[in-house]
Amino acid sequence: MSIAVPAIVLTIEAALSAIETLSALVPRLIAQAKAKGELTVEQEADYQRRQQEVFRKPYAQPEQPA
Amino acid sequence: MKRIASLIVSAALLLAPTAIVGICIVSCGGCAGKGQLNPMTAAYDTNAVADAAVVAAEALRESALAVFDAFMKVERENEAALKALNPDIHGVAEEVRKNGQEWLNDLTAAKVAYQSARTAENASQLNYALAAVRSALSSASRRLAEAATRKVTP
Repeated sequence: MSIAVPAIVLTIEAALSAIETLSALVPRLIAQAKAKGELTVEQEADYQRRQQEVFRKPYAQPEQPA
Repeated sequence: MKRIASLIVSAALLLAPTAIVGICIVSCGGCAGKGQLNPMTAAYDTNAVADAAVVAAEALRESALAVFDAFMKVERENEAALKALNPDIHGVAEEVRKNGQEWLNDLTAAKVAYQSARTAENASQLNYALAAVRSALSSASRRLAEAATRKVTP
C-alpha cells in the first residue's frame, strides 16, 4: 500500500472534521425532539428544498459505468 | 491525544444519533412538543401534542441528510486515499449516491401517509421506512468513524 502521507492526513482530517460537525447535531436533535412539534407545511417544504440541493451537488452524483 | 479521544467519543455518538433521539422521545412519553399536521388538508393544529413517531422520523431524516451530505463530500474529495484504506467505503458512498434520495423520499412518503391516517398499518410502514434509513445512516456513519479511527492505529 503506497499512499502519500499528506493525502492520508488530509483524508483523516476531513473525516474527523465531518464527525465533529455531525456529532454536534445529536444534542440539537434531542432538544428539537423534546421541544418541537411536527413540521409545518413551510418547514417541510424547506427540508425538501435542502434535500434536492444536496443530491444535485457534483459529489452526490454516482459514477458512470465505464 | 485529548483531541483524538474526544473525536472517538464524537464518532461513537454519531453512530447512534437516531437511537439517542428515539430513546429520548420514548422515555419522555408525552414530552414531545405541540403541533400536529394533517398533510391532506394542510391544517396545522398548534394545540395538539405532536406524534412521537412523526417527530422521530423528521429528526432522523434531517440527521440522515446531513450525514449523507458529509459522507458523499468527504468520500469524493478523498476517493483514492479512502479506497486504499478500505474499498468498502467507496461502495457505501456509491449506494448513498444512487439510493439515498429514494430512501429519504420513501421515509417522507411513509410519514405523510401516517400523518394523513394515523393507523397501526401506516405506523408499521413508517417503522419499516425508518429502519431502512437508519441502516443506511449507520453504514455511512460507521465508515466515517472507521476512517477517523485509522489515525490512532499505527
